[in-house]
Order: sequence, then C-alpha cells, then structure tokens
Amino acid sequence: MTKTAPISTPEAGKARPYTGAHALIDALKAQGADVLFGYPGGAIMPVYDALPGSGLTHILMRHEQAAAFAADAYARVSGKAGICLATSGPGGTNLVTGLANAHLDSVPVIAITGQVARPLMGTDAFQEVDIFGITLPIVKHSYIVNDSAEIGDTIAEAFSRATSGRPGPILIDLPKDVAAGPARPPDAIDHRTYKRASTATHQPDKIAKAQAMVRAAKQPILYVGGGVAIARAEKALQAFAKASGIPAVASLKGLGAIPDGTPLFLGMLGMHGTKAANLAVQDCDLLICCGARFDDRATGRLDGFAPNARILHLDGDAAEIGKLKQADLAILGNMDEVLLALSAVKPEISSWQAKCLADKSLYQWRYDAPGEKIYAPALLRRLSERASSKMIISCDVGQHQMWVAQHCRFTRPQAHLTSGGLGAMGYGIPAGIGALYAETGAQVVTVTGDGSIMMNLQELATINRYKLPLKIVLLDNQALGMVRQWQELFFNGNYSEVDLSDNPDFAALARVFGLDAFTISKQSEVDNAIDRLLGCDGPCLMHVEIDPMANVWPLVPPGAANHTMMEEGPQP
Amino acid sequence: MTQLLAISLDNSKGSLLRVLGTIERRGWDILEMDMPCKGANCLRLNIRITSNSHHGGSVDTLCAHLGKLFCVHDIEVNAQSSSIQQIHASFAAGPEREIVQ
Repeated sequence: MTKTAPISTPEAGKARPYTGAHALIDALKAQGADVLFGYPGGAIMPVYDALPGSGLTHILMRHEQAAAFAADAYARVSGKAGICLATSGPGGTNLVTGLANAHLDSVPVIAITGQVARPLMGTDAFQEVDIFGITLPIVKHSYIVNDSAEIGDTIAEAFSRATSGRPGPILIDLPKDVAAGPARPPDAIDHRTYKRASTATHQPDKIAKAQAMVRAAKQPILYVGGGVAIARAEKALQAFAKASGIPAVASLKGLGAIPDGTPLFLGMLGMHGTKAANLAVQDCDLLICCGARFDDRATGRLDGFAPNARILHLDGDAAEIGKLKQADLAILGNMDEVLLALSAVKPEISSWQAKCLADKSLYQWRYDAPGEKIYAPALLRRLSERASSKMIISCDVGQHQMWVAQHCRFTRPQAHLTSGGLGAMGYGIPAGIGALYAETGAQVVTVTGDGSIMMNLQELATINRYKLPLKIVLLDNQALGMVRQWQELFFNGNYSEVDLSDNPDFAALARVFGLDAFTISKQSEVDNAIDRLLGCDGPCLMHVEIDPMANVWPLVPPGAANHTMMEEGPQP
Repeated sequence: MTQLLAISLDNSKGSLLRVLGTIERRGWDILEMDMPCKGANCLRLNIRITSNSHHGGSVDTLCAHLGKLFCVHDIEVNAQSSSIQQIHASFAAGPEREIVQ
C-alpha cells in the first residue's frame, strides 16, 4: 500500500515563515494525528502549503464527502479521531453528509475547513458560505478560529471533545488570512492538555437494584447497541453474557459486540432482524438495553416493543435515557463497571434459554436457494467464512447492507462499517479506504450495490493512486433494490424511478480506473470467484449479477410491531 | 405543557443558535424569550416553550440535550407556577468539561 501521493513537491531545506497553517499542522501532530483525508482549494491552500514534509500523510480523495466518510471509518476502526480537510464554500458543503453521518453514528471526526479571509467574511465573497452555521445541528461542537494564537488550544480541545463522552464530529473553520498569517511556534505557546472526564459510575444503590432486577427475571434479554463499542465495553459485555447466560440480540451498530457464533446470541433485531431475536424481545420480561437508543428501525412500533418487559437502560449519554422508551431503571456512566457488577448475578432461566435456542435453530437462515442465479445471502455468508480473521466489511446502503448485517459473521464491532443512523449511500468505498489506513494488515472488503457505488464511484481513482488492496463486492440487481422492494410490497407494485437496467459495464469501468475486475452470474462460479477476489494482491472488484426481484427477508412492515414480520413466500 | 427555562450560557460564537436550534429540533416551540444582561462572557436566557412533539418528549430529555452543549453552563426549569427546580443532574455525565493543565 502506497501511503504518499505520486506528486509531492516540498521545498526541503528552505526556511519559510511560521504561519497559522504550520501551527495547525503542529497542533494536529501534538494530538497524535497521522493521516488526513482531504481535497485542496482556494481558502485552505495555506494549509496545503504547509503539508509537504510535515510528517503527516495526506490522502487526496476525489470528493470531500468521501474524505469525510474515510475519516469516519478511520475513526471507527482505530478508535482515534479521523481528520478531513476541505476548502471553503463547496468544499465545506460537500462535507455535510459525512458530518451528519458521523453525528448520527457518534463518530469522532475532526473536519477542518478553509474560510475566506476575515475581512471578506459576511460579504458573500467567492466560495464563502457560513459552514459554521450550516453544520450547527450535525456537529458536537464547532469553532471559527479568529487568531492564530488560538489554534493550538482549539485543536487540543476539539480532539478532547470529539473523542470523549459520546463521541461526535467537530468542525473547525479556519479563515485564510489566519492560516497564512504569522504565528508563534508551539514552544512559545502554552499548550493545554485535555483528558477525558471520568465516567465512573459510583451508584451502588442503582447497581444493587439492577442486580435485583436481573435476579428476579425469568425471561431476560440483552439488547446491545453501538454504545458498547463506543465505551469499549465489549469484553465486559461478553463476560456478563457468559456468566449470566442471558440471551442477546443486537442492533445494526451493535453487531460484533457479542461474537457471531456465540450460542445464545440470536442475531440482529428489528425491521430486518432474525425471527428468533424479534420473538425473544417480544416475549422477554426484562430488557437490558446496553448502549442502544431504541431506534425506530430496531423497535418497530414502539408501544409494541418488548411490551411485557421491565427496562434496565445502561448508557453513557443522559439524553438517551427516557428519550423514546421510559426505563424502569437507568444507570448512566461507565458501562464496563456496571456490566462487571451485574456479572455476579446468575438468574435461573434455563427454560427461557432452551426456548431461545430452539427458536434460533428453528428459524436459522437457509442458503439452499434453487436455480442457477446467485443468491446474495449465500454469497455473503461464504465470503465471510472464507475471509481472514482480520476482515473488515464496509458496506453501502440498501438491500446489500441488510444482507451483510444478516449473513456476515462479525466477531468485533470494528469489523462492521455501516452508515447506520443516516443511511448514506456512497459510504462503502470511502469507508473501505479509511479502514485500510486505520488498521495495518486488515483484509478490507466493501460490499456495495449498483445504486450506491455510483454515489462515490470516483474513489476508484483514489484506490488506484495509492494501490490500496481494497476488495469490492458489487451486488448488481439493476435497480434501487430496497426502494423497489418497498414499492412492490407497500405501493402496489408501482415501480417508480428505480430501474437501473442501463447500468454501465461495471467490470470494464473498474478496469479503466486501474483495478482488477471480473463479473459472475451463476451460483457455480461463486467459490472460485471469492478465492480470486480475496487472493488478489491489489485492488479488485467482483461484479455479481443477482436476481432483480430478490428481496430482503424477513421484513417488519413500517409502523408494525416486530413480531408481525413478513417472511418469504406468499403474504397473507 | 408550557415550561419556562432559564439558561446560562457562554457568550461565544454560535451559542444562541445552538441553544435555540436544539430546543426547536427536539420538538418544542418557543413562545417567549428575553435575555437580561448578565456579563460580558456569560448570557442568561429566559425562554417559555411548549411541546409540539408527537411522541411527547419530556423537558428532562430536552434539558439533557441542552446540557450536552458545551456552551451551556446551567439550566433551571420552572413548570408554570411551580417552584424552580434545578436540574444539574442532567449534567452528571459531565459533557467532558474537565481541563487539566
């Protein structure tokens, strides 16, 4: 993997004045930054002028949205803040989708935007937009740096705020004259160091009550969300699940926190969840919510969700407690501590465990699809079984996203990169790029669709430029498949603007970008094709033609309770 | 139900927009507002709000969201004529305010 651009022209050895841009670079390095994803332009040029020879690796993406997505994935995998750079005006507005994605999925992304010079701000200058104002609802915090002396502290505070508590994106808008103007070097600046605020729980009364609730439960369920990975509490969760024997289900973002293959892990719940998971939640008498937020895709009709259960809610964010579902007991703070304290309790639930295991066996996935056509769930299962233990899957949004969640095996949450809250098509390939920079030696596979890939297709050029060994599985049903499925089921088959049968030849297109690429269309080709894809040294795209009418099953209809899921076959 | 919030916040770029935007986005209408002078670095906002939310979001949840804004120092809630109830508890998770030299 090449980490530097082929064209780089630092003027080594030539003394240059120390500017705000240099102060920015030094402040980023002081925070441990190593990789930036960005795209240059007018107002951010002083920063790009300071980059060559700085020791930071800059990845030139081909669109600012992709830079934000790559930074997002870098953060999810590495656990560090991801950084993206863009210029003012359209550069900043192109970041917006990526920032919204990071906001809704609680990802620490630092976005640095150039801004027109201070005397021009507010004059509708060329490439001036109020990116600070535009992004207010989708950032955890934001800054306009009006003085180069503020740069060091602003960057330090931004990293602290992005990564602590419930993580989220931070925007730093840097006027061009501040970046280009003189600044004091870091040894003359009183840099403050920030550390995470303590999230110690220290709530013995509540923990005792929680233990009593668990002890008294006859049919408890663990409902695992993305907050577990954010709190890095996977080990404590697994220890609690193992010690207590409580069956578990996961939201889309909770997948991997309990490794797939754990007997009492029943799979994903919700709209496209497993029947065993949804029935268990329906029947449970205690729902232990660990870092989940009762999202509508997980709960279905809220008043029909876990209707007979008491709710024990563990979270790091006070705003999630009681936001959608009232908890009988909520414990705010360090999830590790609470889960370890609960591990001492062993409820008597053997008949409940047996029921959950029986449901899991009865409703397990079937991969014996008839006919010659490729059955996407079977291909994804096979792919995930054949991939290495260092596999990371990034996916786009649509039917393939749900098939990945259902059929791929995740043993850690960082291995599943998905746009969960925002549902942003175009996430998959840039996320794959970000993941490759976050984890050396990872085997990164992007699963995308023929709709989604076109949203950030230009990033194939980035893959080729840096010779990134990204493997791309393109599931092509010649349609916007999820929309087509909903039109079939809920709009009387009125297929409106979903036909993509005039798609380009994707394999040929990928080859034009310099990737190895091939197409398959028959079940009998799948095994060899997966071997070829995973065995390829460099980047490779596997174009998979699938049935245009294939649907994702099961499906909970919108507004319905989770136990009323529709299944494959004639509907009643 | 109408609520009266008294919010102390930084006098920093964007702080008013953050607070008002959060209130509106979280399902509340602003009925009345005033901003008595408090000091150069700190603002005081008195806001009367009413819920327009279909899911009936509570004022506690709203205050928890407001409490996550780094610009907000303090919120007091006065439900109609009842006595003012301090809700510092909403800040218990501490939106990462610790600064260590």
